[in-house]
Amino acid sequence: MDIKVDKELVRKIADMAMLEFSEEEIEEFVSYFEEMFDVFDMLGDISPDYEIPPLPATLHEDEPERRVDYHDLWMRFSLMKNGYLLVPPLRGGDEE
Amino acid sequence: MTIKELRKRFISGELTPLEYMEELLETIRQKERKINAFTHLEKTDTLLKEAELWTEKYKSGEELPPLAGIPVAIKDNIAVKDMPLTCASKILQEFTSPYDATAVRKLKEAGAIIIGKTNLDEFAMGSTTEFSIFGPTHNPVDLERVPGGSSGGSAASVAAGMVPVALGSDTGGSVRQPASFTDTVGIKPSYGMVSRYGLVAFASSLDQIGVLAKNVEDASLIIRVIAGKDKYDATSRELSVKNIFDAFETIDGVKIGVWKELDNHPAEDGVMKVWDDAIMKASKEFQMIPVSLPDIASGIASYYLIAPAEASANLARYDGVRYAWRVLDASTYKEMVKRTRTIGFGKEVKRRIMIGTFALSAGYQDAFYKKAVAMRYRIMQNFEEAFKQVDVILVPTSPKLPWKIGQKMSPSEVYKADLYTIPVNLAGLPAVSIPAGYVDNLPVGIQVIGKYGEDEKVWAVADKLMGLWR
Repeated sequence: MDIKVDKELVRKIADMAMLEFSEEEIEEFVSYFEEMFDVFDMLGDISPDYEIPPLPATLHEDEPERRVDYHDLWMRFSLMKNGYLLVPPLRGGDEE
Repeated sequence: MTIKELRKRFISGELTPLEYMEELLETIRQKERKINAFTHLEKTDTLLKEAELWTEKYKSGEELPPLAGIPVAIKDNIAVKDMPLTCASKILQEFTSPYDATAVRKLKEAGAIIIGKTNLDEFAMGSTTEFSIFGPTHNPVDLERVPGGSSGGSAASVAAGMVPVALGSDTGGSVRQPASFTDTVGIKPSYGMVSRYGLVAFASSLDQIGVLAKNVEDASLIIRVIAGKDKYDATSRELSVKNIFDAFETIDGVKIGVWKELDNHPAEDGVMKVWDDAIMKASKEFQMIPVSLPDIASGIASYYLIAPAEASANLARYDGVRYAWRVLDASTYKEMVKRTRTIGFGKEVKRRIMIGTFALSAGYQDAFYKKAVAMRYRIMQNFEEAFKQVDVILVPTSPKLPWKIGQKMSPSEVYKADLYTIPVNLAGLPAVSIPAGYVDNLPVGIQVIGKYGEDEKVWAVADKLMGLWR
């Protein structure tokens, strides 16, 4: 990933997450983020706009009363499709 | 002794629930100090009184619910009314649950006795049960080693014979991996089969309550009791399960898939040796077909973006206002929230909140989170394709043998040990980890993974395979 991780970025994220860290901890987080970016590289070149296919996994298709639509189940988490969160995260917030 | 056998002995009077409870409490007295499986044990008097009550009812010959007098332990991230609900975190250390999780309510209605709460990695984030304010849980197989995690307390309590069954939770392998490390059985049901109401949310699209036991029969019996649609969990489903004491379905002609790309992502040598032996034994009874799951190794990257992203949102509620503990000497609201969270959360939880907040922040969503979601769907498609050829798929549960407590590993090294369990959660599938053998006196587990909603078939195959491998 071509993203520069520095102490400033970590401080900004910590503020958004409503957490505080010492200078030493912030340096540790820089290393941690770099380590995780190596893990995230395993995603390869998959497109973020990858078209979600119509999943065929519909269970008990021939029995309407027991039918389970797999796709519907997952779409209950609009989080997954739209990046919209079911529980709004803390984001800095006002002082008072 | 299985639950069915226990019940039979309770009915015949050969053993009473009171005698059985006394036996278990004696085992706990002898072993708990060394193992540290529990975060909370119900008072002895209360437990004995409850067991005595069931003893009297059995004597009267009345019709009793299926788990009458059976003790069950509950992972300490699942709500049990009037018991502590700490998630092994400082931030919840003073919190007592005012209600029962749906799974716990169903267990109580079935007559189970809740014996106590079990240790875990803080907020279920970990694979060792070392990251707990109650200290690490030790593996009963080898006390110097971790029992796996995050449901390590539940696994250890079952493995040590302190309880016959325990509830755990599985977000990325947290029931199956400790089962593998402690030589027990761990079931992760299809997503939606068991209500998540009362399970403290970590990553809501992945979390699922599971069960640890010494055999597939007991573990699946408990799932049959707690399964079902629940009005308090919109993602719960009425998935098909048999009646509680029914035998497993017949599995004649079942085709078993063996993950073809395992050679590209091999486990430790010892694990591979047990794996090879197990596959050879299974091939004498079943038709084995190599199946390709080309993307599942990328599950690590997908999971470690999606799970922390959801966790960062779910854990935002711990602000010092709504739950339990907070710092008292802050001068502004923001300072109170920040310091409460900073002191209240442990190191690993803060790591995941940080990476999750980053993944969701404006400007980085396309590069990280959305790609992770796309990969999740690709992995689901991998399984869809594979299940066109086979009924179940075998994969080792963990690439590693249980390691020593305190062993230094980088976070990503620990995360990569979840390689084989994570794809199952990403795809919402049912899976069971069963003991497959030993190497250097350490247990190795293998997972049986099935199609969505075909949990009964997975259990039937797992039960048969466990018989072959024992």
